[in-house]
Amino acid sequence: MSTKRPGGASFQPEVKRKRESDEFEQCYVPKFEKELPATPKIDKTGWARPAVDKDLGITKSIACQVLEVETYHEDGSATTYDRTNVKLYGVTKAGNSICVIVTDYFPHFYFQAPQGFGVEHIQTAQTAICNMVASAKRRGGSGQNQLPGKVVDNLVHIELVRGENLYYFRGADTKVPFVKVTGSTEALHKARMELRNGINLMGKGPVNVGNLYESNINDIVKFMAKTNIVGCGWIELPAGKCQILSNSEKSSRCQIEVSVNVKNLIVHESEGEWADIAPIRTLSLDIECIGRRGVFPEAIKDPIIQIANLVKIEGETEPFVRNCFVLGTCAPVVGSNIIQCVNEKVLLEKWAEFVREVDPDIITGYNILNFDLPYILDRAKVLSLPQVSHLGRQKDKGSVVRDAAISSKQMGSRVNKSIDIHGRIIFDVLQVVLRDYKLRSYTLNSVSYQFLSEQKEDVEHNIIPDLQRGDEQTRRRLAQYCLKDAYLPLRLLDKLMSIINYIEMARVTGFIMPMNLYKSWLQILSMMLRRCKQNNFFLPVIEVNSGDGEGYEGATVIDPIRGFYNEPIATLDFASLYPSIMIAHNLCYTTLLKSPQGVENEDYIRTPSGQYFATKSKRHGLLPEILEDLLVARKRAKNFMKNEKDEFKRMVYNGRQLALKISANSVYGFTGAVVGKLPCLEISQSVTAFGRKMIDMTKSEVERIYKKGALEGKCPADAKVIYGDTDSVMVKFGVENVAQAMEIGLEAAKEVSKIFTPPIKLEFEKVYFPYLLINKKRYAGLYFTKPEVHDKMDCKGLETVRRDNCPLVAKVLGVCLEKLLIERDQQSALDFAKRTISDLLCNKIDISLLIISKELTKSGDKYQAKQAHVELAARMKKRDAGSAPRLGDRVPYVFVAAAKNVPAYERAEDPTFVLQNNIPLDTKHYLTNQLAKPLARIFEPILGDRAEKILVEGEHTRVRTVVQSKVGGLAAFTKKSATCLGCKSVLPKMESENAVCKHCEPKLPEIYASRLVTMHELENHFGRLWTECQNCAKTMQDKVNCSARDCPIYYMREKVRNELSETNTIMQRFGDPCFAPPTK
Amino acid sequence: METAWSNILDYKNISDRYVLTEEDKKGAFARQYFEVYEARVNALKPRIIEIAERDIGKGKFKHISLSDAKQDEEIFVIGVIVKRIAARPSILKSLLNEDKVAYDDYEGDEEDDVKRYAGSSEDRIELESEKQTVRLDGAITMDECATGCCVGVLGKLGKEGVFHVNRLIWPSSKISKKSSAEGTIVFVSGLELTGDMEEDQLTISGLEFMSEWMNSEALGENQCPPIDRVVVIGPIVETKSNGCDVQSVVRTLTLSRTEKQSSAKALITVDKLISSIAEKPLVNTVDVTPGVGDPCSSMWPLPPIHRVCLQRCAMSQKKVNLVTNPYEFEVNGLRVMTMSGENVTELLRTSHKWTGADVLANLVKWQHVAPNCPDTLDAFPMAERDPLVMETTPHIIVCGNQPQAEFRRVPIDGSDSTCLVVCLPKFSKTRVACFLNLKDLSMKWQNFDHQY
Repeated sequence: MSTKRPGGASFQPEVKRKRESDEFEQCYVPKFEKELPATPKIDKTGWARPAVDKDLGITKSIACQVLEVETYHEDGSATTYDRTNVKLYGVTKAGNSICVIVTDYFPHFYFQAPQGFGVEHIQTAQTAICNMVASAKRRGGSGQNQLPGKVVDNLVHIELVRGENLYYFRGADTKVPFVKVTGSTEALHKARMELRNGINLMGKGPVNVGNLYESNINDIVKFMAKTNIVGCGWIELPAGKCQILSNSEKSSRCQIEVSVNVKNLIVHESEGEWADIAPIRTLSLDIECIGRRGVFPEAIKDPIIQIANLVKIEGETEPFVRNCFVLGTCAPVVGSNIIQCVNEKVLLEKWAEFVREVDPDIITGYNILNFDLPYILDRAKVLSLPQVSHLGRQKDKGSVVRDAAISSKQMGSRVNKSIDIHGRIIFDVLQVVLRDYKLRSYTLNSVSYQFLSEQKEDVEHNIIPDLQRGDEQTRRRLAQYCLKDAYLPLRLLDKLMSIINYIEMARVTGFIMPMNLYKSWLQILSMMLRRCKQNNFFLPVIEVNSGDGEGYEGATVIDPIRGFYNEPIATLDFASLYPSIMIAHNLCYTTLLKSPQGVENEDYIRTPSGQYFATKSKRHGLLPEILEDLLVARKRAKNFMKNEKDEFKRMVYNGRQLALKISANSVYGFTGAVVGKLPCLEISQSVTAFGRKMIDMTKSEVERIYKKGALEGKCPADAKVIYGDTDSVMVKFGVENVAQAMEIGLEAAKEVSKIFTPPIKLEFEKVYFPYLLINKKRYAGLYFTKPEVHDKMDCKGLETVRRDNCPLVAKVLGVCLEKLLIERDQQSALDFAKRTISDLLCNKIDISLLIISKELTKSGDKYQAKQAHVELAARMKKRDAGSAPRLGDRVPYVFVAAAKNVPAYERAEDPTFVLQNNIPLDTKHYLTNQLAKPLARIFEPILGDRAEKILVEGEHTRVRTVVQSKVGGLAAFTKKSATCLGCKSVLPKMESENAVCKHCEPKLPEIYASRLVTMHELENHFGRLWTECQNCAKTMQDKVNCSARDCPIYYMREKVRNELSETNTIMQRFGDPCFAPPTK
Repeated sequence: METAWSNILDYKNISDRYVLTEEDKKGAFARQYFEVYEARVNALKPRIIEIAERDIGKGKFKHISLSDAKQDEEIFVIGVIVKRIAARPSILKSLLNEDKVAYDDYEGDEEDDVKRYAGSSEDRIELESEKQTVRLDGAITMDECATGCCVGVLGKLGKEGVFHVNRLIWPSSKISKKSSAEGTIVFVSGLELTGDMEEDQLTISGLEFMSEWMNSEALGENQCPPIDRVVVIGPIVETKSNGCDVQSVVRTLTLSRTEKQSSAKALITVDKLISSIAEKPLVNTVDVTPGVGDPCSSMWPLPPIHRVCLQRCAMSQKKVNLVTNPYEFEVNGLRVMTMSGENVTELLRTSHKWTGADVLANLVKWQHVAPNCPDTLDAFPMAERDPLVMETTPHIIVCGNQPQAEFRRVPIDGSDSTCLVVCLPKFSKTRVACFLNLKDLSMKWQNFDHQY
């Protein structure tokens, strides 16, 4: 706006806007030139990595753990040809960062050799393809100049190999000739296109080669499968067989850069010495930026004011670098290094230098993927600071942000950012938690509360500008928040052992770590590819169809016999059901038959869903082999874990066995994913069909064997299967105690297993006693694994864990279930439910228990139906744009009372507003729409069908309290006159100062005492809640600024303020406490 | 103005600062507690510097703020102690493991003893000074400080925010010259009446026994000395809550709360009992000072019990004196302070070594009546001032509701006077009253139990 243009008179409307922005600039772009030097003094102790051993690569071999892999294109010249090289980034045992350039690796694809294609045609074919690719390259304009002949001749290479399509069993050994095409990624891509149109391969005119194989698989996956490198595994470069690059030759910022021929790579299995984890550096960061009033910070305008960084070595407890880059002056924080920067440009540049110097392998934080990192990069663009985007290990490449839509069954669709910081892994804790845990809220605060039982002070965005604009003390406060926000993700990673678990997952599946965060199918693909390579199976390219392919029947459920079982119910489980079915029946791509051949059950089997598979005698399937290996490996990892003394190593093994379990279970899903790379519904259909059959078989077998008097009279009654689901059946043996149920259960598991093909096996693990069976997939019970004492209360599918309800529902259900199951007192459970309902109707329930919160994902007009939280957000914006929720925030709301026909979405109201204005809640809505159904469900097995009626319309619902609102409706017209505190009669004007009317005077002590009970409770709450916040914020002498709406005590704390001062005013009416002096 | 009370001794109620002013009350509940700490530091800082100058020597220490501290340089910092104790009750933690807490009742205190917090290796002492927080180690132990104490530390700042203490400096104390007086003051504490005749029987008969004895003119060995005043320390009605009832909050949030009963019935009994003492001709005055749970606000400092609750006493209002808690008065120049003891009980929980007298001696050292207020004791959110800072050390401190009867003469630094600290057990449990002879400050513990 500073550009001057003639004719300023026409700028009238802009003047006002300009003034606004002036004020805005003043606010948050304070000037610090006077106080601070142009370049900050920075204490860099501890930043640099350990020095490099000079002998590495010359006399000593180099071993390193591979963390990140990428490919890059190298143009050919007169002497060399086009290549696709691979870069491996990793860390050595000594903690040096290393970049290994692997040369002479070429990606490949296959196609089936056309009829009559022989060795003699190789040269012709190669020339033909090379020429086609070269001309395609020229057309594409990628090489304006004539390509050197050497390059053209070597664009692709052709080989003849023998192999077989992965799908279908065609006979014992039916390997046929395949043509393998290798070359740079680019050339292969072009070749693929040309092949589709037909190429003159044998000098006899264009040939159509049909389906291609493995051309749609990522180069990195193919490279790793070929070399046997696994993600996070160790590789070794023998001394003398690699070439160390000097600083001037280096393309990366790693301490060591070395190039090696693919032949000379030594790859280690992750066992023994090589199961270790290198000293990996993790950087956790958090940024603070300043926003304008009512707008979420936008990178185009709003500057970054602080970046806090903590750097830690994996396996150590405390970070060794703690610092915070601050815009402006800032008082020191003891224990952390505050770097004061004169302006945002310096701040960002110095920070980027810091990242490059400290050279982290993993970058973590909370929501850094979608907020912090993109924001930094966008700011760098806005301020034109190209250096700041150079955060990766690649010298010439800045990091860019892209949108990546991801959809998966677990997570639904969402748009994430994708950022490549070359050579470093972005490991966002929010993404980890989102993927692995179901929580009520995913704010950093509430996640830390769940896992660390610790909270942080949640500062509202609105306060940040005030703190920044203040003095060095307020900015210091901000720095403290910022440091804490960077510290908590580290603590969470430690607590959840995420990094170790993900490393082990990478080692098990062979794929590199960052991808693991989402694409679990890639892991299976990588395992398949490795296995196929050994057996010369090739993976065909399957055209992805739109997804609405044929569905198939899911798992079976034996209809539950609903009820409250006050007797032990034994549970028989199939151990790893789906993997063992696949192993037992040899279900695989390679054993699938188009039509039955030979003798049934000898040469082939017919699955319950009508598919045919070859038996083991014909061919061992690949999938069963993979699964067997996984299960064996898991057993071994568990053994290692048992015998390992070292705590850290035990964690590693535990991570491994978990990873193995998850992988084994996802193979089934992989075959069923229609949009995946290798769908095979025949397999997945058969698996579930087997599963259904087995559940039914178990039921009839159990009920056949364990009749009354069986087991030498140990069975007191006929056994009855009351429920069965996917991989478990619940059996009522009619015994009296847990120990007896366990004895028969163990016996039954052993006996019934005999009817199944090994390794399918029934296991007996637990007894429920008592057991409340509500419906399919909805049950609760007390869980016993040993006869003496229960392990836990197990609830499935009940509202105790659902998130779309208000907390009251979960609380009430939880207590009721505890009373039912642990105390086994049905009456007290019912009484409790009734009392809660009556409390609710009398407005005695704390508001924080009635709050529902939903995320505001898009603005109002984009939702199809009107939604309560969206409407509320719009209304709040009208009231005060500054504090209204923004996109991405969770909107908390409660339902308030309104006229009869007002739709639900208009009844939603902001809890803070409700508290301030004393708005009555729609308690009836809560009762009928939230509480009634879930409560009725758990009481139905006990009370029968009348349960809901009893709860919603019983005696206890007669008394109700209605609150007088301070706003809206008639509130403005009502006049308050003093009433007697005893009988509520209106006091005459003369006595309006008095506490009670004349008639109530004799009862004064009683009235006072009863009022006092409320006041004492409020006072106690006020005292405890506010000191709790002071303690949580870890400061006694500073104001608590926390606005964490999902903290259980936030609303209570605010509510108690209002109520206490109201109560106090009332108590004042009783007058001075002391006896009046006699003189009066 | 006519004196309301006709006593032998020259009495002056000096508890003014415990009475809330209009300024204190205005918008009080919109405040936060940090203001109390601010006021506390402001009040005690000059007194700490005074001692530092006396003991270390003027100019021999470097009093700076923590933020200006350089590593390994000896500096002097004044701040507030925060003991981070893992076992300290916390609402958030209780809510997380609500299943455990909500049902087992918190009243499980052993008969007369105090439930103390289990120590943990993670417990540590921190000092917060001008918004910086450091961990303290070196010459400081858990047993010589408490959360909320204001102290000066001489030491060096080490790595990672740890401060190595060489020496602690506590605030200076002021005590007026002791004068002597003739007469006896009687103290009883914790009547804790329930309103249930059967339960209250022992307490009622004990108290009646006491008032009769005080009134008997029969000469003999077991004669009661002339009583100038009786101080009844609350709680006079039974109450389940204590100063830091975290559970009540948790119960509200987990729906497991129970209805609280009002104390109206018990109040009638109290009213009768106190007026019956006051009506006796030989007793001059009865001071009634409340405890937490009595019919008055439950936030420290507690205001007097409200007069509407004691209608019979109102008849003899000249003799019943409703006062604050803590309560401080002067008789013939002798300063006496009484407190209902929740502060001491809460402090006892934080150490395994302390007895009641240790805590009281510490209060004198710290020059603060209840440093743990507001942290573990509900406090009125004050601003600008902290009434619980000891401006002048009293000659006698009587603390009610303690597990054991105990006393100690605590020497006052910088003077040749001592402060007599007395721990008084609950009358409801022991039927013991303390008769303090003002002449030589000797005590007589009288038991009024009918069973003996």
